[in-house]
Amino acid sequence: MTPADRPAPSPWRQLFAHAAVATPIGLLALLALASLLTPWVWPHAPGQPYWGQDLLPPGLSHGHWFGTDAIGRDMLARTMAGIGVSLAIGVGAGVLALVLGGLIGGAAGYLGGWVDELLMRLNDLLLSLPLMLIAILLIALFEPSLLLLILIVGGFGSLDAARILRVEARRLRHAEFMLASRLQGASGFQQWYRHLLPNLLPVALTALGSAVPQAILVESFLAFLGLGPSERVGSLGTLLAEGVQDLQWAPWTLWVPALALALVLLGFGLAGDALRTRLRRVTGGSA
Amino acid sequence: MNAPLLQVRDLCIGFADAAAIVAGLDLDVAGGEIVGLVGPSGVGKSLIARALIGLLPMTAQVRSGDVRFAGSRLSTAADFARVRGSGIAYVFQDAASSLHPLRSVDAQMRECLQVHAPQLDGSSVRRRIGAALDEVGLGDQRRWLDARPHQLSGGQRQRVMLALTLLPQPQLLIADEPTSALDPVLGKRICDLLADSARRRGMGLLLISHDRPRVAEYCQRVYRLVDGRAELLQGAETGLPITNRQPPVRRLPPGDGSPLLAARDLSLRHATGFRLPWQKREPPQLSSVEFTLWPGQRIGVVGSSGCGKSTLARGLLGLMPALEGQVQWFGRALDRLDRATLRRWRPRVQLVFQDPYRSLDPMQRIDAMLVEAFGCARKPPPREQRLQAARDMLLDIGLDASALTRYPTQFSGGQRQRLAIARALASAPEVLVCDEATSALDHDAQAQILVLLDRLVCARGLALLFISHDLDVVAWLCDALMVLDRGRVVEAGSSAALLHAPASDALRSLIDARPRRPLEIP
Repeated sequence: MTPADRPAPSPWRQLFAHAAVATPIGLLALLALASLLTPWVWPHAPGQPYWGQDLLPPGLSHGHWFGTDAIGRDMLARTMAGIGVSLAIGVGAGVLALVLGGLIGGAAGYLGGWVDELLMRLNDLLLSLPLMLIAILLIALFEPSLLLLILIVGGFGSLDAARILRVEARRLRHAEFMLASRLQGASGFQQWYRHLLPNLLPVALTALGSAVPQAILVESFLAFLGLGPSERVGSLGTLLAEGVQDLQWAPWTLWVPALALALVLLGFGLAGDALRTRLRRVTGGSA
Repeated sequence: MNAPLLQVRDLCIGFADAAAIVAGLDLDVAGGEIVGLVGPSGVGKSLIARALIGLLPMTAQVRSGDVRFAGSRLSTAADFARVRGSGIAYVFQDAASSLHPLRSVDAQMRECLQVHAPQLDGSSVRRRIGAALDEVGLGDQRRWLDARPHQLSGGQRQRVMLALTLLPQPQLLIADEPTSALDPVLGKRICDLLADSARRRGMGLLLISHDRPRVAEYCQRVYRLVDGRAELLQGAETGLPITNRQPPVRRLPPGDGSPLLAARDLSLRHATGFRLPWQKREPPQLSSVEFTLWPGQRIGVVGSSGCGKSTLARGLLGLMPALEGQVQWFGRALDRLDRATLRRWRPRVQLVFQDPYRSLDPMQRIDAMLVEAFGCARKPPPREQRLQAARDMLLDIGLDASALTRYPTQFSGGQRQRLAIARALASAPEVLVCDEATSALDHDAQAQILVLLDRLVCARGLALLFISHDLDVVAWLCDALMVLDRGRVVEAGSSAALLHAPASDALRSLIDARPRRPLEIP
């Protein structure tokens, strides 16, 4: 319990202003920032091949710190760009998943009754489909692009998010403070944005901690199969796929992007876990 | 006094990076002695209990101090493991979650004996189990041995739990809030049982509770936990003289104005899910309730748990449709009101919930909460004055204006309940319904909330419907009483008259279950 005389931090501050949450988020921010700044400070462009400098091992002497790949592209530049692409797809798909899932799950949980049944059975139906197969089909049908990948991965992610958020919305629907608001004569919409949404949001953010890495992994897998956005803007998955081919004589082409991917996933994983723990404490254990 | 069985000296317990919660506790319990440890919730009572059996949560640790049991010092995990169960036994607060949900009573009791008395043969195991069940009043063994916890009622579970802890024949029993999950009638029975067992076996008993009057009745000594120390309460302080002070006379004559809230032959049933044609319908939770609340009147609704009190509140607030009969608000049938009118009228009847930890939105700051509530009133104060109104309201309920910028989790239980009351009053209601509004609070907070309610209801001329299982609270606050039993009104009338001459069994058992030294209200 907080001592009575200390000024109160908002629940949001309490949620984020904690080393366990702030550190992994800081790590992710650092990675994102590095990815953004690399073109400005690093002399080599990710798509630029250097003839005669292919498969250079990592080292400081030749100017390609993380080495080069089979056609002489700078691994550091490629990895940084890959981090950016993966993050963009992950965060884009994760946010899309939560917005879609929040709408579907929120409506199902809040309205209950037959709406709930209908939406959730539909959700179950979609969840039972072989997602990867459909994703591959869709990508084969359309031009593979960043946007399409975000839509596909986010769309699938929304199925899981809908289930998580439905449970939460259902709990909140029966929460006594919602009832109190209703008893004051608040309309459904007012109850929604005054109480349901602010209480749903932290849970959604926590879910983001698992939705984003999920999306990044799915995208990496697709890219690994050669279904990534396109050659020129390779994600970490694209880099991994290429790295595997040269693994025997140039292991760094795999290890560097693999390490970057691990760092990104670690950041999200730690942040998600810590958020979940903090959330329980901030909302007084009810969540 | 015999040499103490349990001797605690200067015990300090704290969580990893915080100030000590328990700071310098001294406590003695002798064999055959019943000692109470009381204090509001959150002061560390359970922490102490767990420290005494060496089961502190991972994040808490004993900083210093000395726990001696039967002369030998307990410090390492092995020490505690030796005495746990057979030396010191522990009764948990919530029997429902501490019994194994999938195993029969018999299996659980056998398991206990296997650990503590492996040398016993089959017939003596049966005898021991039978004796233990007898002792807790579950005489008909065959009926109980095969039962699984979900087939037992709350009181029966607590009894089984107790039988389990008594099986290894402990010398000291620690009961942590043994009654707070039970209604008063059951609570009293369990306490009687505990005290009887302790006396019969010469066992030490440490009763830990927030319910001071209940505990004081049984104990030779009562300690109150204040600032992490135990302070011995003297005779009078344990709650002796009942200040059955009559609330100030303030009633308006019935008939003055029209009835505010009324139920006419009201029956209510909870919505059940999908039902197959051959599945029987449940009987209604409430049937043929007839009652009228006049302006300025205070009606108390009492009954043991499960009698339909909360259902009545929900029905009267228009949260569930009437099965039969009708609810009237301000002379008009609730089911005939159109939605817009109902929403406009809603602020006129407000509810204070039982659990202030759930009824306040954890993400909403207090100023936002009160401003929202003021905005809901039928004649809301102008927008720019609402914040000032919220400030005044806080002063009125005994909090200062700094509370405005805080969030609900940053208040104690009693303060939260004040805030819940403030929210209810901010929308300028004419009727206040309180559903067990004080029963989740500890003794002191309870008394304060009652005094506050009394004052506020008086000052604003509200009508009050106060639902509670605590007879003393209702008798103090309300002038009329309505007794519910299994969904029916079995008795109604003025509280003084009913309490002196109860006619129904339900009311009589509630009166019997009352602690002999009831709530003191300053």
